[in-house]
Amino acid sequence: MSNPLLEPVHGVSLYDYAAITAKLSAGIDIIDLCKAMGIEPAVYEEASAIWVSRMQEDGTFEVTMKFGEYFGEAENHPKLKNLQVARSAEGEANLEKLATDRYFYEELSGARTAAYQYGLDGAQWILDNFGINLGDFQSVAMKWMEVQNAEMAKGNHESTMHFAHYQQQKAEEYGQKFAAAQGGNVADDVEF
Amino acid sequence: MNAALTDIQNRFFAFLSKLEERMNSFTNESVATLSTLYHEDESDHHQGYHRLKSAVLTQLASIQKKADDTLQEKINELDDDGPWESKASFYTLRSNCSDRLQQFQERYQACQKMIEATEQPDYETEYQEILSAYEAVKNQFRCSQCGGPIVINQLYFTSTYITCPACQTQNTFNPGSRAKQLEGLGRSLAEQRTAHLRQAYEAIPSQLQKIYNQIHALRLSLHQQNKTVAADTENQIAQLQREYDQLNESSPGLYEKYVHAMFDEWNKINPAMQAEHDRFRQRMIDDMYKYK
Repeated sequence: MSNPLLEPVHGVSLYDYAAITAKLSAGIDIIDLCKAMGIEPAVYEEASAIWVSRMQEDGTFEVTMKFGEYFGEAENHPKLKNLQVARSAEGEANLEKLATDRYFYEELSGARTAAYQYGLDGAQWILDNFGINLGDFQSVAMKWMEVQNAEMAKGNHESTMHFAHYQQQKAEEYGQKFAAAQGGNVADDVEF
Repeated sequence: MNAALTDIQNRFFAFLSKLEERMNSFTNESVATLSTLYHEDESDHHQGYHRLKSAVLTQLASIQKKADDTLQEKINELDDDGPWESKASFYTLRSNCSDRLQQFQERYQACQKMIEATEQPDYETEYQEILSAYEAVKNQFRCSQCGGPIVINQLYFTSTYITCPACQTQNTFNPGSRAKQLEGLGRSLAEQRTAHLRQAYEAIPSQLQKIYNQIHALRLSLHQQNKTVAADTENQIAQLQREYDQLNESSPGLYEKYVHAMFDEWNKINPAMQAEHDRFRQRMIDDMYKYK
C-alpha cells in the first residue's frame, strides 16, 4: 500500500470503516456491526475518529475517494454482507430498479432534493414512499457516481448533462407537488 | 413614454411592490419562528430548524423566480415594434423595469440574510455542557471487578480501555454521548473563537480591489493633467501601488496566522487529537501555497 494514510487503524481497514458507515446509515445498530466485525465498540470509535482525520489531512483526496468507492461495495463486505435491515417486497423491487434504471435513480434524487427544499426529511420521504433506506440509497448513488465519472473520463459530457437536466426537471415536478400539498407557494395569489 | 407604456410600467412596479410586501411579512414571521425554533430544537444538529429554514428559503426563491419570470414574459418578450411612440421609449420601459427588478433583488438578498442570521450557534455554552457532563461521568467511573474508583486525568472523547490501579482489571471507560461530540464541536468552536483573524484575511481581496480602483481612476485622470499635476498624480499612484503590493504580500501570512490560531484552539479543546490536527493544519497551509 503506497499511501500510508490507507493503512488500517487498529485493524480496521478503510473498507471495513466505509462498510460499517454504510450499514449504520441503513439503520443497523453499531453493537451488531462491531460483533460481526469482531471488534470492541471502543476500537471502532477511535478508528472512526482517525479515519475522519485522515480524510482531512489527505490533500490528494485518495482516502475520501476510496471511502466513497468502498461505501458503495458494503454489500460485498465478507463480514457484514449478511447484516441486513428488513425491507418490504416493494422496497426490494424499488432498490433493484434504483440500481439498474438510471432514470429512476435521477428521479428519486430530484424528488429527495425537492422534499428537503420544502421542509421535509427527504431521506425519510424516500423510505416512506419507496421503501428504500438512506444507506441503501447512498450505496446506489456511489455506483451511479462511478458510472458518471467514467463517462466524464471518456469525454461523454452529453450523457452527464442529459441526466443532470433530467434530475433537475424531476426536482421541479416534485417541488410543484410538494408545494401543492402545502397549499401552494406563499405568493401564488399575487398577480401581474 | 406614451400612456400604454406608462400603464405597463405602473402595473409591473405595483406587482413588484405587492411581492415585496408579501416577502417582507413572510420573512419577518419566519425570522421570529426560526429564532425560537433554533434554541428549542433539541434534535441532532438542529435538524428540525434546518428543514424549516430550507422551506422558508425555497419560498423566498419562489417569490424571486416569479418576479424574474414576469419581467421576462410581460416586459422583455413584448414586441418592440408594438404600438409605442418610438423604439427608444420602449427600451426606456425595459430599462426602468430592469432597474426596479434590481431593487427587488436587493431586497430579496436582504431577506435571505435575515433568515440565515437566525442560525446563532452558541458553541461556548455547548462546550461547557459537554465538560460538565464529562465531569459527572468520569467522577462516577469505578472498576467493574473490584469496585474501586478509577481516576481519569485526561479528556477522552471516545471509549477507552483503562486499567484499574488496584486490581489491574482492564475496564472500558465510556465518556458518554455528549463527549463523543467534542471533536466535531471543537473545530466549530475554534473557528468561532478565531473568526476575527479569518475575517482579516478574507477582507484582503476587497481592500486590494479598492486600491486597484483608486489607481485606475488616477491613471485615467493623467491625460487631462499638466506636467506638474501629473507628476504629483504619478507619485500618488506609486504610493498606492506600494500599498497594494504590501497588502498582497501580507495575505499568506495572515492566512497562516488564522490557521495556526484556529488549530491551537482546537488542540486546547480536544488535545487527544493533537497529532491528527497538526497534520490537517499542515495540509491547509500546503494547499494555500499550492492553489494560490
